Amino acid sequence: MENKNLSRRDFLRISAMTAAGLAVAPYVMGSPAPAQAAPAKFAPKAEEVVLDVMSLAEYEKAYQEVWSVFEEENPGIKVNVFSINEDTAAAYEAKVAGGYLAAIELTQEMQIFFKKDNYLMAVDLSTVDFQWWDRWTYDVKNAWPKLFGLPGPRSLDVFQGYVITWQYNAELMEKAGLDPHRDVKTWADLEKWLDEGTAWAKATEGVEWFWNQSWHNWVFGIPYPDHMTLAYKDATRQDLADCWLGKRKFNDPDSPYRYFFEFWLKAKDKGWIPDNMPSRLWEGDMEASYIAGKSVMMLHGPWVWDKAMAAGSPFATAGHQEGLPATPPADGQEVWLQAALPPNIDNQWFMREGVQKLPIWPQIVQAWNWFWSPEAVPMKAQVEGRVPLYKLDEPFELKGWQYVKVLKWIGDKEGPWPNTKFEQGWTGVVLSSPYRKKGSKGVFDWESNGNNIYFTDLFAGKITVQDCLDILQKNWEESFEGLPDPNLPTLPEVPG
Amino acid sequence: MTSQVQTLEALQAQRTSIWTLSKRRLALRIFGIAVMLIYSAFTIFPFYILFVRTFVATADAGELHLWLPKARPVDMNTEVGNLSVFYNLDLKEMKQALGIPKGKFLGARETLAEIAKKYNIPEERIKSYFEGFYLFNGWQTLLFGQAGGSNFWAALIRTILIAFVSLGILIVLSILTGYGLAGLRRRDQMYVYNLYLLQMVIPAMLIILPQYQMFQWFFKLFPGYDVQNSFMRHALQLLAVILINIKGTALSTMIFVSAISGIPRDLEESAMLDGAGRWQYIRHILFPLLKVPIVSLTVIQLPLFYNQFLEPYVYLDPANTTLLPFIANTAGQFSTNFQVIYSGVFASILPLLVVYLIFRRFFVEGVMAGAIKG
Repeated sequence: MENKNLSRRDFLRISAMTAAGLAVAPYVMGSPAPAQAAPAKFAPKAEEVVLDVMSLAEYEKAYQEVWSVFEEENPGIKVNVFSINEDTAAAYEAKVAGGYLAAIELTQEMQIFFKKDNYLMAVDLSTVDFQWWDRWTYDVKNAWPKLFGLPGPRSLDVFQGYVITWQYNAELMEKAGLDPHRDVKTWADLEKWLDEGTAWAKATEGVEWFWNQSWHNWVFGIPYPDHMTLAYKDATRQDLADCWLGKRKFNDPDSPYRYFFEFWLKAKDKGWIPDNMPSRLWEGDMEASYIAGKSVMMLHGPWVWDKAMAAGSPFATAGHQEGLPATPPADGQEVWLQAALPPNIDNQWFMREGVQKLPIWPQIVQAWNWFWSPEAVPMKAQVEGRVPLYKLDEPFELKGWQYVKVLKWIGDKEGPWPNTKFEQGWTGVVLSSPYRKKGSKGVFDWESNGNNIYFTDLFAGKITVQDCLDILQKNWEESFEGLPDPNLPTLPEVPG
Repeated sequence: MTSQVQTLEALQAQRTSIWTLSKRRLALRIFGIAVMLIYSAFTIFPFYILFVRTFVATADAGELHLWLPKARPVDMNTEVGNLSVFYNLDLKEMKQALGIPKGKFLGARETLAEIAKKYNIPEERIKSYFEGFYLFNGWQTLLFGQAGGSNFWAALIRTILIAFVSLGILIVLSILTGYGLAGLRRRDQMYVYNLYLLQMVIPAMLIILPQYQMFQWFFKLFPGYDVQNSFMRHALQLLAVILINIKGTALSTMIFVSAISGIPRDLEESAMLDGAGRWQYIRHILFPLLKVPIVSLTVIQLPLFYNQFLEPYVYLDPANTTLLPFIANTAGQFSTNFQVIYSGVFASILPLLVVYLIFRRFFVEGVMAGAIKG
């Protein structure tokens, strides 16, 4: 009788051969076209084209509603709105590297800033058939190319940069017997207000903090430093930018950034903010306590005005949220400046290189044009509650809460702060970006949360304000090359 | 007489000591039960808090809640954009439920009161639509909502499918590998075994990209893979995750090589003498003897497969995703609907808990296996 048993050696051999066969099969059977040339999502389908369009995670449903208008107007094109967040961004990028290609993407969660070493990953928007360039209130088409001396732009945004203002629970403020609209006119008034509010909160049951400031690496790395110093006459945006451009040093005795660190240290020493601020959570501690009515105020962007509303906080739904421009003038400063970050010219919405080769490129261009049209821009502005730097066809009334309560009145002679003015010029971060070395930590080292370390040390008394400034200068020296440059590019002015 | 008295006293003393002993045992038992109860309460307490948190709106998230908070009705001054932003409210579904024509655009800043007026909808109807919104928003969004084109139930089924199919195939393949390598007597067996062990030092993160590209090249050979939402595309994507899971792991190889090596070779020889083939030996003799290592592997691998995030997130389309990526899809950067996150986390624990309760005996056996062998 024939022995049909399989020996262990045979068994191993067969297994190894099968595994090897599977491994080489894709190569033997022919190499398919590169992933980007035939992306999975965009296989042509006669009856319907589907475009994957990214949205900010928190605005996904609202953007879905905006895109539904486009779908109504363009039967045959379906828009699949999707989003990623900071936790899933790395996995998304792995997916992109593997061949996935969405129609329109957003840089925000991926921390992409277009510069000389990565600009080729995005479509050159000046080559796209785009009809709205002249709608922006500044020369958006040439701002990025002028800055970098490269063909572009590679991304678009339509809003004024983020604005940080004071924001408070007016019911609690009234209970505290404080009226910042009436009483806060100068930086000294602001400090007095913080003193009195802190004392009231400490003596009041049910209120944990007057100002429950918490940590956010980006906020302490980008918007706060460019906002807080403007109270001082000798710390203008130009003064700050000079440090970034190598015209002066971050650690000079008259460094404008000294005010930034001194303010936070003072806030800690005087008990305005928690001692352990660098280890407190932005959303879980600060925002949550404000929304729950456990703390009175915050120094924040536009989001939490809405968040408190949506969360159903009684004071917010009753319309009792108020605000104040961030930096009332200190001694010698004549104008109450309210900072806005400059418009995003090197990040936000973009189309990844490769989409032009897709059979549905015409539909993508159609969607791209619609997305920046006078029809869509007001819808987007209402979604995010942000001011569009764009000429619209019809009068537009922005209803975002931060805008209605504070920003709308900046520079209004009849408003509550007649002496206020926007400062939204180009920051040192933007102007110096062409000179930044690839992979460097940057001045504030916020991308890797390095700024948390020196803030923690500063609060613990291990280092001084001067040490912090020395760190900034050292980081700058390690991160930038070619500065100071006598031939700095001139960027188009952004009107207020 | 004296000796009788002494015996009596001795007996009484013995009785007393017996009584004392039983009393002491009783006290010890009560103490033991009390410790166990307290320990169990400590263990269960976080799950209880998690459950309660699924009903706590973001507005009240700053407080510790030991019981469900008092529900608040939805405020008619709430802007619809805010509801959609922070509570994942599906505007399409809301329009349909309230009878708002499909083509009408709901501006983000329109309040519920304005919508009621504009479309002539009684406020009561809107309020009743949002009834339970405060307490049950998390569960409603999770169980009936969509994120990235998928819903919770489909994501759960895919998770269970991937976890159990992966586990089943991994066990079968690991047994065959273990059988092939058992004893590690020859050099070729040692080479193969060491190759398996080598995987322990290669982090999955490092190879995920080339691995993904390899799968893409391979799958594009199949017609229909390029068509969005096609059965072929979804099936192949799920297959990719299963294939990654079932590739021989160092752990499963070690478990089964060691277990099968411990089974006397005489058993196989006598089966052969009785006319059994190798497959019969594996199926009828070896497999039943491997109950304990199978359970051990299950205890370790099942939660890992069930809680897998990275591979499903990378390989699967959002509309074809599994539980963890689905829950992650519901979170924003600047805002988070805590209710839906907590509901998702709680709901994702339940199926695994049910599996554990059903197969508890086997799991305990698996964990105890080898404990007294020395």
